[in-house]
Amino acid sequence: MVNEAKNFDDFYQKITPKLEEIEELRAVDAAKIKILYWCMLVGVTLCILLCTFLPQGEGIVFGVSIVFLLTLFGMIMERARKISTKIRPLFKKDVIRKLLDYFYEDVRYEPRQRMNFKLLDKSLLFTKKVFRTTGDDFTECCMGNTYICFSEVQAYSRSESYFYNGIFIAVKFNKSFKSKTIVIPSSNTSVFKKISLNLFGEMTNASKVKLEDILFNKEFDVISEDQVESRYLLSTSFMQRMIDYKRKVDKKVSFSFIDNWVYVAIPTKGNLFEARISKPITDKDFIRSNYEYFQLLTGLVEDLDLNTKIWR
Amino acid sequence: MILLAILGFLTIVLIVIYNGLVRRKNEVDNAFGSVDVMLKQRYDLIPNLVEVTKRYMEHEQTVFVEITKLRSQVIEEKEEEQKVAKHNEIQRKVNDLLMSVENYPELKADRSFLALQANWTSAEEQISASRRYYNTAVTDYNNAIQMFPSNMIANMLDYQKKNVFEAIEVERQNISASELFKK
Repeated sequence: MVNEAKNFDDFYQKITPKLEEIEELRAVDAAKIKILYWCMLVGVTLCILLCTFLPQGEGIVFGVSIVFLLTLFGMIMERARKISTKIRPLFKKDVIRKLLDYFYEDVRYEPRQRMNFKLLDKSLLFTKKVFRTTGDDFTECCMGNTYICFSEVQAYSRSESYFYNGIFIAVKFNKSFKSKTIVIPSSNTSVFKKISLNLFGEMTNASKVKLEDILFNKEFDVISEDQVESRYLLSTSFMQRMIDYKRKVDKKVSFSFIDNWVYVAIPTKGNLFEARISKPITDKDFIRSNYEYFQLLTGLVEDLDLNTKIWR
Repeated sequence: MILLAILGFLTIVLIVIYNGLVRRKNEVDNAFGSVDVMLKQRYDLIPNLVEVTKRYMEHEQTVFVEITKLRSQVIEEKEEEQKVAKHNEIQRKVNDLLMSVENYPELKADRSFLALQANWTSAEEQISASRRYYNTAVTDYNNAIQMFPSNMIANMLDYQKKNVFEAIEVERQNISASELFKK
């Protein structure tokens, strides 16, 4: 649960000595990379000049220049990789984990783990069968009485082509239900999704659910095994909260309700919660953006009001 | 040949419209059936609810008598609309009863009562969901029987416009068991 009494500035102050240590390591290598970049820039300029002004037949000089540039490029890449391997675990251990420990209670964070690929398959949110996954930053905690876990995931099909990159969240739902319901962005062709779900036996008698909320129908398509139960899950207020959450995240969010769990897939670009090489790590906005992203994910429980069991 | 093609096309159109109308009508019946099932589920909770609460709420005996009486009237009622009205009346009475739970701290701590509260709330939500489904099915059906050209076939089949469920007065006033339980 987020502790309201704590504030980000206080946390930042506490974490600053650690950040400075990491920044020191980063700065040394980043300076070397900068020199190599400059060398490469000069090399490219020289190469262009040679191509323009050297008489024909002096191709050997051009060839040597290209080899030199490629070597420089390789050095830069190797240096960047070294910094990344050095800083990445430190950043996760000393910044991300501390951040989670500071703001949430009973949080478990496993930087090198990810959600089980079987769970991704079970969620029915993906267009292809998930054959394997890569990913990191597995986090689990209880927000009040509600259990939530999530991680970054890249999903691969059998042909080894990757078709999903983003966050995958699993939350224990506050109502019990038996049927399966999926809520996908309306731009995803729901007719094909519905047919494929029926064809592959992932859902029994899946049919499109026409809900009374016009705005919700514009944003999402709902496919369910049970017309009544899908409406029991998607109450009018819950639909509004889903729209609000989608707008807050500003991504094509999908939800599925299966076996008393709600699964959420949020596609993202790039790798989240990572140390950066080109800019200072001590930057307050950079740390804050990491915190805000975590807040956005754990905020799902509060935003969808999953903690409220109305009979309590 | 062209005439045959046109006739064939018209026949297909007629079949599609006819099947569409029948499908919608059946969906309405199916949706109404689900409302009935949910009402029955809530109805089945009443004896236990009365049994548990009356042990603690000695001063509310008249309400228990009324609820029990209404419950037996629901079984005897043949008219669907009257049946729904009786269910609504029970809902109102039970809600009144639950409103006074605050005055009985021992009852509030009773585990069986808490479980029944949870089931009651869940049943209310299920009823609301099934009514929403019914209303969607009815709207779809009404649109089909009023729109051209399906209205012509609907007239021939004597399909009549159906009414959607409207919120009962107690719901309009935002008094529901779920709200009461939150207190």
